Amino acid sequence: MGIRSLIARLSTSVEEDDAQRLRAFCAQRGQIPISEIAPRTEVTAVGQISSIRIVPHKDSSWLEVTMSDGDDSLVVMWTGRRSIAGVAPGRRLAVKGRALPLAPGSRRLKMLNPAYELLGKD
Amino acid sequence: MKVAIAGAGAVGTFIARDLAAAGHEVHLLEKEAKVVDRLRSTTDVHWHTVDACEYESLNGVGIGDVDVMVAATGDDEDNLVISLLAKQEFAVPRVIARVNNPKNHWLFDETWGVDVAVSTPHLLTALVEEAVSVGSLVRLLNLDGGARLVELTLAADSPAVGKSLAQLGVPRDASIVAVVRARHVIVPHGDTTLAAGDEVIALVTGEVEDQLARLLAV
Repeated sequence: MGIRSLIARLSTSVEEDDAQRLRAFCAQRGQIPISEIAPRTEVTAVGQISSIRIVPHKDSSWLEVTMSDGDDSLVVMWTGRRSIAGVAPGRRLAVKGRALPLAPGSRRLKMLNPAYELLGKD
Repeated sequence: MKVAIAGAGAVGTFIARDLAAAGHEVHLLEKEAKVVDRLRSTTDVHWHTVDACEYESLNGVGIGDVDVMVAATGDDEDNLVISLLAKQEFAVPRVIARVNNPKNHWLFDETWGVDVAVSTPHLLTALVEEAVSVGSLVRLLNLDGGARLVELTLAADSPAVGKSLAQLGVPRDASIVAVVRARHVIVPHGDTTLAAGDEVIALVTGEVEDQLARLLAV
């Protein structure tokens, strides 16, 4: 049994292993998996930042962060910001707010200016 | 549809009655108790005597499940606050805001949670332009997601006259949605041939608007 789980452990790829750890972390800290968030209900979602984009917007810019919990992803937008200290790719984050569809009719969700908390690695 | 309207002035009350008559569930928010008392008997909607600029009062009214929020007060600052709260705190799918002073129109955008800004002076200019212009592109309506509806009446010397839409080579991100000729709407196909005096109605995104204008006008 010990050997089998060791073999299973050794034979998974680094990416898979990372994803599994992320899933376990999010399941433990988050209120709800991202895939189960219903639009317009207040939730706290946990995930790891996979990408950050600065979107120009007239004379200001928006910070657009994509965070993933290993299964699904959520877009978080902060208006009028170019950066937020501590918000960087790879960082784990808890955000609290109400999500709305990314575009009308889209199944993917975004949150606008949510309350956030930077989380430690594990 | 569940609609919330902030501000029971002439504009807000009119919209509320109209939408209620069309069978929608209308909630009208007004902070002056006197106004509510005066209008309650003549306007059959759900009345709330609250300040729509406050999170708690919006929460109490149940903005969490409205389909549309209309910020129709006579104060542009209030309308911006209401729009931002509705979009950011309650994720309302469609937020419509009234612009009172046209100088403030530029402020009413997604940054403040506004999906559609309605400014009477801008509407009037668009309509006047549409009536007097032949051969220049007139913006009729801005839609969500950056697309807009534009109209152009073909002048006799337009390079597009006599060409079919396929020959015209409409750019990507632009679509001709209708051609109005002699009061008839023609659904455009590749072989629709354009004639002088045709009103061409198209959907475009910002960048290709100029390209389309060059194809249709001199």
